[in-house]
Amino acid sequence: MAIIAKISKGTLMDQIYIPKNRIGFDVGSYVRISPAVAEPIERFFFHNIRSLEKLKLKVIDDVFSEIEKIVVVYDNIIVTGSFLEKGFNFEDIDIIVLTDKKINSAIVELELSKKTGIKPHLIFLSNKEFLKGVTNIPAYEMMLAKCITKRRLVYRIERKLDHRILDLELLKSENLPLNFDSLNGKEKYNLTRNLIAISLFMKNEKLTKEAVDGEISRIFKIKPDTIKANMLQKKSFSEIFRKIYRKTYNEVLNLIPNGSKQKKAS
Amino acid sequence: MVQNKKRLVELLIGNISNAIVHSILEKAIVDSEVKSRYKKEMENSIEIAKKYRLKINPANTTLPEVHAEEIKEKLLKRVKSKLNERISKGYKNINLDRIEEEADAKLKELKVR
Repeated sequence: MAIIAKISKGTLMDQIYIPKNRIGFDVGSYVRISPAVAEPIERFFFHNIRSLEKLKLKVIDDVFSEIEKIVVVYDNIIVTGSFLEKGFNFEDIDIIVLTDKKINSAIVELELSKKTGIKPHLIFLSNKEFLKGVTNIPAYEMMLAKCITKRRLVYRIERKLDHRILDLELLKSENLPLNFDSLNGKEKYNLTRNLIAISLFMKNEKLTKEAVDGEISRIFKIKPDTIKANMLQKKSFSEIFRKIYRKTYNEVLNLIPNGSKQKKAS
Repeated sequence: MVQNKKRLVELLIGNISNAIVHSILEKAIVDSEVKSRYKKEMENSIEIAKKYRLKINPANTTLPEVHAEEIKEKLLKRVKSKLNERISKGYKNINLDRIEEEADAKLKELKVR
């Protein structure tokens, strides 16, 4: 393990600054300094992450190296989702690989599971798909609000409200009132988060996990953890959910530009 | 018990109709870049429907014809209603001709008919 850094000039002593988010090199530990020969500088790009457990950084390093070995030609690798939240309350690790090559995701998933012991949730996207998703799909914007990337992530979010995409995104959440009794807490939370994210996306409001969780608490008058723990009161929760769903659905349909209408089915 | 079966049939219809609506709306999207994202959702609804189907007897053979026809009729009505609502608001490229074909395929897959 090595970090390459530059010696900077100090008043009494010179110093070397190293990033706070790093694998190893704990404060107080002794290190050996030696001149660097032309070695590649290994660093990640952090987006809205103040700190991360060192163990997770090691996992991310393994993920990046393993994907690099298999995929070879790629534009970026993005790690996102609950894995980046504080603590170890995650079930999998969400990874987006931006590549125009056709990749057998099963092979990559298997290798990543073997290497890290964590179930990966892999999405392969071409650059075109990624850019389309970032501007049209609330979930993509949420994923990118907090992530770690292998390379610098250069994109510009200009939200586009496409009724067809938002309709399909919203349709997912219809599963909650329909299958309330058979869904677990995490599934209910994901479907609620999806609904609220779409609603905020349409209002052109900030789309981060914190913003969505705050809106869930405000609307449902419960903490998101209560949903995750599956401790909901079915009647009251479903009533509010249906109301918000219907309101958002109507707003999505109102986005349809006026045009000639198709013939209805009998 | 009868009430329970009625509820299971309702849930079965609800999930199949979601899958069909998903499938038809997904085909209305012109951009191929995001299309693949929604196939998984349709499959998910069918997987949930399968779980409910297994709780309805007979689970391993098709349902009695009268019962199967009743389910199909309710299913078509629900899907048409959902899609017609969108069409009435000006949603384009919704191919209603595919509803019956999709319904037949899904009901066969779930051993309803």
